[in-house]
Amino acid sequence: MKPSIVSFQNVSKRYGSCVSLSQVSAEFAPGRLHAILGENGAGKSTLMKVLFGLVRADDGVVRVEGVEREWKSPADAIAAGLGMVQQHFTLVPSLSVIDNVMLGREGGWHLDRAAAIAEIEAKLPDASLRMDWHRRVEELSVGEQQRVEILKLIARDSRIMVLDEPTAVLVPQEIDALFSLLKKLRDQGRSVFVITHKLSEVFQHCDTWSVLRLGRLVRQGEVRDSSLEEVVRAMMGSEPPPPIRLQPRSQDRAHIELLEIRSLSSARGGRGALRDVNLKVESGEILGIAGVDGSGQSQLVDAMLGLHDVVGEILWRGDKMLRGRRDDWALISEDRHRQSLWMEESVELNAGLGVERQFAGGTSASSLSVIDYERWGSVVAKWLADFDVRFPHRGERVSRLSGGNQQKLIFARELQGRDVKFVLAHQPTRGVDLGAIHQIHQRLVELRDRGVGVLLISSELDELMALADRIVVLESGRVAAQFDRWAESSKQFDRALIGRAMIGASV
Amino acid sequence: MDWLIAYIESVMRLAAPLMFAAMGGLISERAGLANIALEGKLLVSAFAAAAVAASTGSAEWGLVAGVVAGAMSGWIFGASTVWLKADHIVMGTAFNLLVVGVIPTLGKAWFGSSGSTPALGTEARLQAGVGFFIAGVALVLILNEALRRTRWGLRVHSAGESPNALLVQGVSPRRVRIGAACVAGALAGLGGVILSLVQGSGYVRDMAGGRGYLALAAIIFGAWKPYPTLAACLIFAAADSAQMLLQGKSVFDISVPASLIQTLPFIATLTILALRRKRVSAPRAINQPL
Repeated sequence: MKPSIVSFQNVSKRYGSCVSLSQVSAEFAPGRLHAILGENGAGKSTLMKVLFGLVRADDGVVRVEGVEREWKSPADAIAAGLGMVQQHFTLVPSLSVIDNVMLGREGGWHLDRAAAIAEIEAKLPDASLRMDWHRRVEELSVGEQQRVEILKLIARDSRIMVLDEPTAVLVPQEIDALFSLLKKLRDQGRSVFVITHKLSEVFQHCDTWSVLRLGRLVRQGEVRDSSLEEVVRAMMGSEPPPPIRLQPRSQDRAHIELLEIRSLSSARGGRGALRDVNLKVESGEILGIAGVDGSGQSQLVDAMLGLHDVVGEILWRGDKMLRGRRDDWALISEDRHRQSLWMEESVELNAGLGVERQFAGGTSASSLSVIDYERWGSVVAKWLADFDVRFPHRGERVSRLSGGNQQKLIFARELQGRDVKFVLAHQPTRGVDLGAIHQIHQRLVELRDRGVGVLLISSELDELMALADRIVVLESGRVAAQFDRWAESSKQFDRALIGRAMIGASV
Repeated sequence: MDWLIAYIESVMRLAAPLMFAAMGGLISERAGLANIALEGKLLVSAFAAAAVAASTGSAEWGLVAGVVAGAMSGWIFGASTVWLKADHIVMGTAFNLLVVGVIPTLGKAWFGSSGSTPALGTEARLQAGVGFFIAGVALVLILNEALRRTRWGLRVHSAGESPNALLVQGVSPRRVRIGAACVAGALAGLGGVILSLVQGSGYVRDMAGGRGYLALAAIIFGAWKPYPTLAACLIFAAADSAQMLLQGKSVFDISVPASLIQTLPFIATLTILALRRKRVSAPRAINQPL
């Protein structure tokens, strides 16, 4: 076996009382595509940031190409041939592609853009990676912006490249393109690390996998010698749950039309503005909305909540809705920290927010009723227990809970605090660990089977493929295509086909 | 036509300090430092220039002192906001208030007069005519090119838009910001020098008279770009000159109080900013701690 290009020995890192990395030891071979796997908060980003010098380890040794290294800053790491693409891009949006590539290595006080373009073009593995160098980065798609980030590393001759969750923001076609680029870079002899939690990519594209859980390195392996179950087990630390199988919709009950959206358009233009959107949600079905982030999903949700100026109609059971959320809707919003929770308040308070009417003292509930906090406490305690929300004590600040537990708390409140007929779930599993994802998915399917209508908006196509009865693809604010799992005559319920619609290709 | 020539010359004179202050402010704002402290910097450097010129009798030393005082206040502003992570607006306001208190104290200690420095003789004043205006225009041209075509410009822009992009390239956005703050201070300092050594003869209490804020308004009106900012400075100077021309004269046989006429530049500012329809965007990372 070739000597390791990167090796960690007993690397530890704590933030206050919180252990982020605990005695991590691992070896990585050169010239390969390494997947770093783990749940949120497992420490995979921290480990890579230690490698790159963005985070300094409390303890342990990092060796790069056999040499023990302790970076003072990322500049040292860059000079030594490392490069990292952060999850949130570090581009200057208002600058051109070439300016972004040059930044930090301008070569003299005067900017010679022509020379810089010649230099980077000479370094590209093939000509197909050329870009319009003078376009401003803010005009590029997310996939193209990511390519700019990778070009920055190529320009700096990085031999070791780290990408933090590079596919989180990409559609399937872009993911394939990204990995084919990464493979070209690997074939040039570079070592590539990809932090991810999407197993399908690992098994399709990567050479090795390493799983971190709760700050420890649990297992490493070669992709070709491993099974999916093995990796999932390592990530979850327990047996993986059986996959969810959506049963055909029950015909026992008549399906009534709950929500209808008729030729809805945003009142003003702009990115993601809605354009003549029509859709319907019936009781007992999950309607999935697929699309690249920023294709109008947020505007659609906001329009339904009365927060976005639109023309067109939103009907609830055939009646025109007075704008705003109905009391029999459960709302799982995209940004739970800002829209669903009061982060610095207690678990108990958060679990009853918005449904205070349940806890009003006396017989008739009005906004002036005195809240019976004892009842609040006992009722939400039961809700939380039923939804398996884990927390140290009821007074704990909700900001201290994991993403999965925060989201389960929101589900507990939204589903039990009201008589729910309709669920509006926007990215319900973003930033949530695998165990909680499974519980949330089960919950949504149960609701559907009970006759509740579910509108599920997700940028994870796998999630929609598993749960949705129908999928509507939003692209640039309009409905680009519709797919029905159960209809035989309709377009195939196919991953690749839906992916094409997401990037605006004709289906 | 004599009045027109006089008017144009007056516009050029009045525009000069505004232009230097605005270009200084523009640099620091582009680097991500919200620069509400321009007013204080103008006052500090005007005072420093006048005090040194009065003590040494040399206009040149006064000029140097004003620029150094401006650069130093720029450094203090930059360092406190970057290293101590002070809020820029709070820090800038505090600086402006501090200046109002400190200058009279120093004036009292040095010259026995709290409000002003002694009147300067001709030898201690700068006889530049419209020279500073021409220098100011040259500065705008150079700055515009420098922002677009130099490493410095690229880094200043990045520090104001996306400091993390610099950080991950191993360039310290803090250093870029502090550097920009010093340059900005020095340029504002030149503006102060013009106030006390060219337009005036010595420091007079509160002699900036809101020009620091006008310069800030010019930057915003100019969408943080040199040429439009220059245009805004000229408009404000034109209003200011008109105000001086109209003072003490009766308009349509109605004598307008001088204090009302003096508000003209500010009314012009408000009108212009209010009429500007297009939404301008400040540097994205302005007033964000690093």
